[in-house]
Amino acid sequence: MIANRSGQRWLLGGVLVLAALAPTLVMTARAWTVAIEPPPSPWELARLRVVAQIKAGDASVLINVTHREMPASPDILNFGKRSTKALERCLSDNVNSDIRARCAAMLGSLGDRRALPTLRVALEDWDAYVRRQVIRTLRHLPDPASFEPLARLYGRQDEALANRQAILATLGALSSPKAVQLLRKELLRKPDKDKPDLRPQAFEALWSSRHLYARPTLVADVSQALRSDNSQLAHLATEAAAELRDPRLVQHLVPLVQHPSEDVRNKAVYALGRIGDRKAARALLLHLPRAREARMLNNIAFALERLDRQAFFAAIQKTIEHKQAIIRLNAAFVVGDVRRPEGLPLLQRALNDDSDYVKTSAIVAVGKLGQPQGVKLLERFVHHDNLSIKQEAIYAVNSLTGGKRADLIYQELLTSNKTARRPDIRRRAAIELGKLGHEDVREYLLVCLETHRCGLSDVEQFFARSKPGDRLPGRLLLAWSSGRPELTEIVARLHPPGALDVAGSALGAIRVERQQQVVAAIDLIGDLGGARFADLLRRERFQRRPWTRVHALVALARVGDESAARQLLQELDDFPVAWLPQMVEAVARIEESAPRKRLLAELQKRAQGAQIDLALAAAAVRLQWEPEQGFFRFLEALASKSGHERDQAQYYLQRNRSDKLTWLLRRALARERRPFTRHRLRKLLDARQRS
Amino acid sequence: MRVSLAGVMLLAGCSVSHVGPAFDTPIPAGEVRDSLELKLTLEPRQDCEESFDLALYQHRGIELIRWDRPQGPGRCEGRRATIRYIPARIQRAQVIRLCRTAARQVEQVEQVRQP
Repeated sequence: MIANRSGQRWLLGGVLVLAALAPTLVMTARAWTVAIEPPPSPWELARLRVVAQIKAGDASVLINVTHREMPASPDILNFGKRSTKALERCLSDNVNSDIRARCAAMLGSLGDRRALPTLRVALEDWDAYVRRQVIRTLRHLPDPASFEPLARLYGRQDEALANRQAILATLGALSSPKAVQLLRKELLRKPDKDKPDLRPQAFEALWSSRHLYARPTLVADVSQALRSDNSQLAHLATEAAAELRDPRLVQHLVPLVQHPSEDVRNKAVYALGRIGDRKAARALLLHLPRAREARMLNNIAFALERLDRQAFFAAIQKTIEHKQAIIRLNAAFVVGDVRRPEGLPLLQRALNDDSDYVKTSAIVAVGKLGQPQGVKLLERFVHHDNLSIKQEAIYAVNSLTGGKRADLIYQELLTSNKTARRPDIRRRAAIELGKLGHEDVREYLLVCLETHRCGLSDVEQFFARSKPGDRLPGRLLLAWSSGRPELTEIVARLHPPGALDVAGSALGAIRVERQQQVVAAIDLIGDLGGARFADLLRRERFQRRPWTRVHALVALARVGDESAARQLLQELDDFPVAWLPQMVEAVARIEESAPRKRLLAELQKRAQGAQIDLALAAAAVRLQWEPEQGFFRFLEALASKSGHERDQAQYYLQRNRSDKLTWLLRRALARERRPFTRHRLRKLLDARQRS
Repeated sequence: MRVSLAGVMLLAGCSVSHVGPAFDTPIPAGEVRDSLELKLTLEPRQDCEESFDLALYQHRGIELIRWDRPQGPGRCEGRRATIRYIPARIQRAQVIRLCRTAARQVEQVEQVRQP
């Protein structure tokens, strides 16, 4: 009887496997016929069987798998939230601890909150590494109800140190007042002599929950951390101080300017500059002549310039005349970066320095000041024998004249015999001339790109201005078809004749293993509106590989397939949260108004939903399509009660590099009065300025 | 001339329309917009463009300041900006006055009316 049932189960399993594997086998067969690949090994087939059973909804499939049968994580995550149950059972019932740990990690990547009860139970796993993975996964799925089991585990004296550290980090992510209490207790506790000091981890975790703090308490805790004898804690506190910008922190930051750790010293100076309290100026002035590294000199100088400009120029004048050339060189660099006209007389002296390095630094700095009188100062260097001095002088003069000295770049750097043995100088000259729209460098830059000596970003702006009859688009298409997927967008923009046919042929011919090129071909068909290749795209949407499938759906939506938008939304709902940012990039490629309209209403619904990761992914698509309208969802998220939502919003705002978003962030900062939201906006803008 | 935030706020204070909630809010699509294109020399400093923006956006009649791509990073002179504003909240002359307070030199290029 038992044997009979077992036989029926195997038969049923076999039918299910065959049915589920059909598309995969077709694709594999295609690969064999085209590429004559060796057939899969028995273990590969076993893994394929497991994948098929997950697809068929078998929740028990991972209970008895060993390492050899366990599919790769992407193959499981590919099924999105349909694989949650199987992963939960794996975590509870597989006897192999490594496999349980992998399943716990995958549950984190999936982000399916239905798994929370199973994960909380798994905090009692006998294996420390499994528990660590579970703790980390609970951080990705923050929920106040996880506090109690985590606190209980933290309270056990026999818990591994790495797990205790991980618990603190996870508690910080919960946005729970109870967790904040526990973390504060850890932060304020006097460390035991013989036990590891966990205050840095407690501080870091508290910082993740800072929006739950009263500001005076937060300032008091940061002050205490700044005074700590633990360098790691002091370092974290200096970073926090730079974000808080509270004048009460100045007195605790000033002594850190002389901290033994270079990192703490630099971060303390940076924070003082950001706080902008003039009381710090004296300490920085005293320290300026004692600085022993370029980073410190630069940090002090920039901080001083904000705090007391007059004192800064008096001090930097001494530094730019220092006995050591390396200090003079750095001082000249700082004067340039400060961009104040008061720096010009100082640089004028540095231009006569005996050291060519100091001279070069001063020339670059004069160029940055943007003062027209700088041109006269630099003219004598444009024919200098030292090629470094010469080229920097030419670029600075060109910049100060508003791009009117391209002739110098062409004659003295690109075509001069003197630079014949310096391809680096010629390449930079050609790229610069391209940016100025100089037609004579077209062929040079094309070859430069073809031979991988120039990056696309170096030439993209110039190439985008192609003229009718130009050979450039065809050459770029040729490069694209020989395996340069990064050229997809520019090829689409220039639309050379035959591009669509080449993309269609590429999709049919490329081996399935080269996924990047397959995706590029799909994207190009979508970019060029290749509706006649819709059938080819439809075949790809059944692909086991998620990105081929998603990009095919995006391309289909763009060429007018109305059902593709619906399927894209299904994918979005089901996708592992760890993959959502890439999903956003793919969907944001849609430029056509009809599919955008079809998707927007649904995306907006999801953007207001309770699933934070999905909500912000949906909002991030809108942010790319309609930044002015979409931005407000992110502003709301930056002020959310949930730290996770704030972090997610910050993440997507950081990823979007558009100028328009920078302007919107500035507008938001100018009008923002909620302190922690203001800090986040300031931080986002600082990061954009640095890059 | 220094960027004077206090000065800008004082000017902005002439109108009551800049007062709003404690954060940025969308301007209804139905409100009439207008634009001004300006050539500007900004106060020379590291973050000249951002300082100008932060000063102007204090007024809620300013909807968006769109910048040209500068010749070099951080350029403060010879810049072009298109300022979109809400005439019902701030008059054109007042926009220009705010700009003059926040920048060293202001020159109007042309006025673009949006449909």
